[in-house]
Amino acid sequence: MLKVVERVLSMMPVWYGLFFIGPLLAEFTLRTSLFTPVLGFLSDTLPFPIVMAFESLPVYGVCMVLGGAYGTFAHVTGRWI
Amino acid sequence: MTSMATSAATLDAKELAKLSNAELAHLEREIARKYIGRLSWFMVVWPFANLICWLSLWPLVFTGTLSVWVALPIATFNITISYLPSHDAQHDIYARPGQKLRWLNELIGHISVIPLVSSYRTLKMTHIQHHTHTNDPDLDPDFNTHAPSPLAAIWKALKARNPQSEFASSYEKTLDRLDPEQARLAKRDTIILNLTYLAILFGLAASGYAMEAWLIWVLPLILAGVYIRFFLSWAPHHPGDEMGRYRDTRAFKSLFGVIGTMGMTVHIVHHLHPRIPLDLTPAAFREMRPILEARNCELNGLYE
Repeated sequence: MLKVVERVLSMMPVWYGLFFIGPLLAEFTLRTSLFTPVLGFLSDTLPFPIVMAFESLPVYGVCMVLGGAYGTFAHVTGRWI
Repeated sequence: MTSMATSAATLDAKELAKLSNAELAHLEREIARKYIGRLSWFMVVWPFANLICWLSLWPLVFTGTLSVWVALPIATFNITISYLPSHDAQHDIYARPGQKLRWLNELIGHISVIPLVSSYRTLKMTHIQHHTHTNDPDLDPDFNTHAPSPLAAIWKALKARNPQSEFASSYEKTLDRLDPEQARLAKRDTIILNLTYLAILFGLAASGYAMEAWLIWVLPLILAGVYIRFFLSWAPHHPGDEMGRYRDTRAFKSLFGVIGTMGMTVHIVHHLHPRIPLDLTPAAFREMRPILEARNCELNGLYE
C-alpha cells in the first residue's frame, strides 16, 4: 500500500499537468482570447476536415492531454523549463 | 583598549583604522545591542495584515467584487513579502525560547509563510545552516543561488520550481545531516503543506477556478520565488566566492532602494547580528558603517 502511495506521489508532475495545467489551458481557451490568434492560424492553415475534427473534440479533454503530456515531460526530464 | 565610552560616531575613519579587531568588535557590539531585543510592532502587524489581505482576495475574486487581473499584482506583493516576518521568527527576534511572547514568535513563523507553501521548520533549520556556513559550496544550503550575472540568477531562480531542482535537493541534504527528529518533523511539514497546496489547486481546477488559482497563487508564487532568491540570496552574497564574517555578505546599491529590496541592501548587518529586527537594520547599518569600512567590508558606496 505504502509503495503504491509512494509511486503515485512520485508522479506528481504528471498529475499536476493533467489535473491543473490541463484545466487551466482549457479555461484560458474558453474564458479569454489568449489563444485566439493560434487557433485562428491553425484553422486557416490546416485542411478543412482536420479543422472540423479538431473543433468537434472537447476542449477540456484536449487540454488535459496536453497538460498531461507536459507533466510527463517534467516527470521524465526533471524540469518544467 | 579604546575607552568603553567611545563610540564609532565620535571617531573618524583614520582613528577607527588604528583600532584592533577586538576594539572594533566591541564598538560593533555596542551598536548592535541598541537594536536587539526591541519588539517592533510594524513587524508584528505585517504578517497578520498580509495574510488577511491575501486570503481576502479569494472571496473577493470568486464573488466578482474584484477582477482576478487586479488580484494578480496584489497577490504577488502579498506572497513576496510573506517570507520576511517568518525570517525574523527564525532568528527568535520576536521572542526567544522561554520568553513570554515565544508563542507569537512561533505563530508568526508558521503562518506568515503559508502563501509561500513553505515549512517554517525547514526554513529555520536550513537558514541557520546558511548563516553558519555562508558561501561554503558543500554546507551552505543557499549556495546554489550563486550565478555570474543578474539574468543568470533570475533564470536559476525560475528553475527552482523544477521537479528535480538543486534547491530542493540541497535543502533535503541539509536536513539529512541535522537532528534526525527535527528533520523528520520538517520534512513531514513540507509534505503536508505541498500536498494540501496541490489538493486545493486540483479542487479549484475541478470546480472551474483554475485561472483564479493560477493568478492568485501559482503565478504569484513563481514571481515571489524569483524576487526572494534574487534579492534575499543572490544580491547580498554575490559573487559568493569568499567566506568569513566580514567577507561573505556585502552591502549594495539598488534602483529599488532599501524598501524595494526589503532591507537587503544592508543584509551584511543581518549576517553580523541576526537578532536585529528587519526594520531596524538600515539604521544599525548607518551607525555601523564606519566600523564595517574599517573592517574592509564590501559596502559598494551605500550611504557614503
